Amino acid sequence: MPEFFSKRNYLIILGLIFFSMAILTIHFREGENGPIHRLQRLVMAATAPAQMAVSNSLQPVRDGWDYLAHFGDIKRENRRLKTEIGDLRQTVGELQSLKSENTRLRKIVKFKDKAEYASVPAHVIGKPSSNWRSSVVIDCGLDDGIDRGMPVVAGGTLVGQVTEVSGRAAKVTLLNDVQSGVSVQVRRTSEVGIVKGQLKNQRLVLQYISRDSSIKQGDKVVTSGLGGVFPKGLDVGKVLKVSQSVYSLHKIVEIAVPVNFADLEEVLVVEYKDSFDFSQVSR
Amino acid sequence: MLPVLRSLFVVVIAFIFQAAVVPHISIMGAKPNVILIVAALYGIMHGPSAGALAGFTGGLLCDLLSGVYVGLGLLSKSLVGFFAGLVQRAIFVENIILPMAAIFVATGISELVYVVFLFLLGETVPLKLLIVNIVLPTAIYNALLTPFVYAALRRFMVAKQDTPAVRIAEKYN
Repeated sequence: MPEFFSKRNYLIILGLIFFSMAILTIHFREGENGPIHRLQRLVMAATAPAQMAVSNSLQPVRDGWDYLAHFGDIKRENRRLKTEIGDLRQTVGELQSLKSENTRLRKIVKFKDKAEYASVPAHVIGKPSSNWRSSVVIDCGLDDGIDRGMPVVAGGTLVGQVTEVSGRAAKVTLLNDVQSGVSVQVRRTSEVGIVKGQLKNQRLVLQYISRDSSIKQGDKVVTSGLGGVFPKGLDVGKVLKVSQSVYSLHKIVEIAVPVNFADLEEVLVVEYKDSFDFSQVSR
Repeated sequence: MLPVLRSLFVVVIAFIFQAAVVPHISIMGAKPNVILIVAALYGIMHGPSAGALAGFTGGLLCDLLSGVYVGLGLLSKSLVGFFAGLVQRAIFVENIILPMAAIFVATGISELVYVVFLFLLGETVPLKLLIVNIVLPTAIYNALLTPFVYAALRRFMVAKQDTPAVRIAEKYN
């Protein structure tokens, strides 16, 4: 195949590599308002209606399939939930009287309300189209008060962070994405590490836990609040497996997450913005 | 419609399909890459330049939608389109098994190119996990999807294969 190794072909290949690297570099170096970032937001806003339309039209099919596949479970769960509702009604009554008592007492001691952050509920309208990234598109954006960097939770567990926002849609990079990294704390031992994603659905990896640590299966992992990216104390998961390589200074810790990243349908965006000014530290 | 506009239309439709429909048809977490199939089919049927251009446009759109590394998907897909065009002589689209095999190999190469650049950029994901969970399932899924994509695109793509059989057929027409 003489033409396979022709000079023209080499030039085209080199040109493609050069062009791709040029775009990659510009994307990294430009700011949030650079042309490629603006194009990204435009493409996300343009594809959101199509994603929402397909997602909505497939919902009855998904619901029907779920109903058929889990009919027995649903019946058992229904019975259990009915009993639970009775118990909960009783608890709610008790809590309401406690709440009013609490409000009275707070007024007296001028206690600061602990519910620091409001949250915005959102539906997942777009799932990752690539095998290499783990992110979802939600149906809320700047118009709803969503901003870049806000944490996203589902089922009481941290699932990701808003990384791109347009007017009515936002992209949430999930914790199992290879690019994500969250500073966390093991609740029992107070050790701090970084949770990283490896594209697995309900598993994360906890890094930088010392080989002398007493961390064990079942330990609860929460956000540490260090760096100010996420608020402190958000649930991340539980330790599933701890192992140790002979040569490593750190333990290999696997975290089980109670949420399936592939099946997210509704999420809450926590209106938390890092307000810490790092420039003040050096002064 | 002008050939370039027609090709652009096909790539944009493939992109919308990739963005809106593909996430819902994943099997055990593996998602097909329709843009890659379209780029490779363009390469096989219209030559290296058309394949590279289709991969370039589709890859850029996909990168803009989902990529943190805008430019990497563009590179892997346009290279696949280009190389598919270079080996077009050996692949007869009349026999669908050959394009299917070509797209299986092309997916593997494209994903490995992506992995190499990810490693160069400092992303560390276990290689075994990548091959077992991503590269292999995607390659199989893409190969199985090829006849359907080809059937859908056939009316937009007039085969212009530069093969000995086509040249002989053209000579006697």
